Amino acid sequence: MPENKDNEIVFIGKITASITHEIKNVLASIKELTGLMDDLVAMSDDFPLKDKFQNVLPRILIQIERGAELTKSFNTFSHVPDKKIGTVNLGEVTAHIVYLGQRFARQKNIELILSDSNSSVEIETKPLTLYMALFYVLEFLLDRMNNNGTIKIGSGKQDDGFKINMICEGELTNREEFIREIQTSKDWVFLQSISHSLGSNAEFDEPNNSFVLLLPSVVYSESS
Amino acid sequence: MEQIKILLVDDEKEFVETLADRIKLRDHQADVALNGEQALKKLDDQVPDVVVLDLKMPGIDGMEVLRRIRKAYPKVQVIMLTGHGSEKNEEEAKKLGAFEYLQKPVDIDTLMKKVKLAYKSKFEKSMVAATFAEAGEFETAKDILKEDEEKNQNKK
Repeated sequence: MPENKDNEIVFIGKITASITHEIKNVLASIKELTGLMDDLVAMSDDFPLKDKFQNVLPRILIQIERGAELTKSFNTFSHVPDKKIGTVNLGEVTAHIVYLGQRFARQKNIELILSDSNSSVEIETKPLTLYMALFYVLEFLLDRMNNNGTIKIGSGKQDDGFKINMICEGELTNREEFIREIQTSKDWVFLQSISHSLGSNAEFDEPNNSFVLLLPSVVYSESS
Repeated sequence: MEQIKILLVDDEKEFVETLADRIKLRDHQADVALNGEQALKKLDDQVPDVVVLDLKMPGIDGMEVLRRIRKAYPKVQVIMLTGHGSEKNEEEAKKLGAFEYLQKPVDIDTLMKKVKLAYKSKFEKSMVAATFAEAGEFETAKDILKEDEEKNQNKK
């Protein structure tokens, strides 16, 4: 049964990757067609509404760039389940999580930024599970922070292993309840079970208002 | 300004034909092939200066087209332009001698800058050789061209 589940996830990833490639082609065509319009308008001295066109066309190009970035990110994400256990670059994963989490953070008026201490070390882990763990830590924080805060995400070495941390700069909605939830809530239990399957632990460093996910350099397949 | 002969190879008809129109507006020559077979046939008919090549196409894929171009036309520079941007593909393309590996969608100014660089690099060695030949140093000129040829052979 678990193997079948894995196959299903890989299948979804494969089809998604294929579709994102097609979207890139669509965006590339729209970009060239818009560019051609821009070229033709620029070349013409008596084109009616020339100024208006020259104002609108660059704005279409900006949206195409935005679509291209999203598609690239979606494509990267679709390849995450390719390997059950594989090498991941922690710096790249944290940068990607910051990108993927932006929309969720924006809805709460919270700024999500990549920390200066982000490090590009590589570990052997379960890529999809790592993405899930990081996303749920982020969601746990976003659900319990007041508007206008900041979350800094970074990675680095810690003792014999590695860490990914999310530093919460801003007010928590209810600090006491937050501390209690870390020990008892269903969300936290779920988060810990994901972390354990990475051979990891999610910890809250209270003085620094920081979540830390401690990761081994190699995860063993039995950690599931 | 020198007119560069560019062959664009991509199975996305709308994309490649529009790109060709934009290149022509910039006073360069642009021809289009919609698959690998068509591209190789066009190369046999008329050798371009630079080929802009997609990776995933029906029939002969971009990597195989690149391999064949480098073998049969070592002086032709190839720029890969693809929506399939894995590092592994980029590494393989560069190993096979691709001049540049770009991701779709690309800015036309960026593409043209790379095309001009590719075109320039094509002539760098032969220009140096020509300078020596003009000065009567034919053996040196021959050595430079031979070295260039060997370098291209090694890349294959």
